[in-house]
Amino acid sequence: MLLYRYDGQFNRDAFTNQSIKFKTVIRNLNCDKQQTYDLFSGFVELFQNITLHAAHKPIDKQETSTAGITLLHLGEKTFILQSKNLIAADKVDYLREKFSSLSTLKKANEKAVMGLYILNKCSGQTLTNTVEDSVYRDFKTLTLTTSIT
Amino acid sequence: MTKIHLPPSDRTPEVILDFATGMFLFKGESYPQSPEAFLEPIRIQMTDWFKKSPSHALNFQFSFDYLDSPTIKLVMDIIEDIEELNHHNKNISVSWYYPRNNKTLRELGEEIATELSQIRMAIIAKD
Repeated sequence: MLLYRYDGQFNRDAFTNQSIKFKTVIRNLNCDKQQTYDLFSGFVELFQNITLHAAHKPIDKQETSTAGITLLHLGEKTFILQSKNLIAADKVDYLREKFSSLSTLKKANEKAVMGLYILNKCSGQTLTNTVEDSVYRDFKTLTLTTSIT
Repeated sequence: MTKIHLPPSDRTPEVILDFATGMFLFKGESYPQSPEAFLEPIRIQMTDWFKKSPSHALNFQFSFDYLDSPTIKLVMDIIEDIEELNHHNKNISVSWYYPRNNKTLRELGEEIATELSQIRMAIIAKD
């Protein structure tokens, strides 16, 4: 069941509004405090990741969104948080390298991958990423998926 | 300047910098709209004071209920400053309080503590 979906602008003002909406959604789920924390943490890191790192499509930047976040309830206490956004095709290798360094918090890489590290941590190491062709030349679509149980 | 007290807001923690006693507290939720604009001036004020009062006893308390990744980065910067300070001042205590039953914040504190080579950070559950 779809519990939350946002596919508008990703900026600081939108974050303020959407974080309030998301908090309201998860407060009504009657999850325990740990799961509520992890759901909110996952949402914040996904939103900030898109705001800071997503590429914008080439021409009509403001007309339609190419990024979004959804929260799905799969049953019992299993939830899926997922984000989609464009990334520049030439950043794919760099991104894969970042993902490969997520398993432990080490000084050498911790600050560069902190957002992804926290996402992976709050989902019990279930963070996955897929990169697919997009309709825009030179851009790919990145999907990040976490399972929070 | 003997004390700075920033009350908590929806997205920022309570911050107390008590220069008279050397007690520095960060408490509550932290996912500021502009993390660096909020936390970096605090860090600068602390480090400036450290330089002027290098042997003052210091007590750092991190008591977050939620913190986002930009805040974690800045907390790690502050802890690195503390560790640097420890070369000159051995009278420093650091505590990481986490909500009891919050495994995420407990483990985060434990991971940060393992990165510290000079200072022992106490990890304490709070109710």
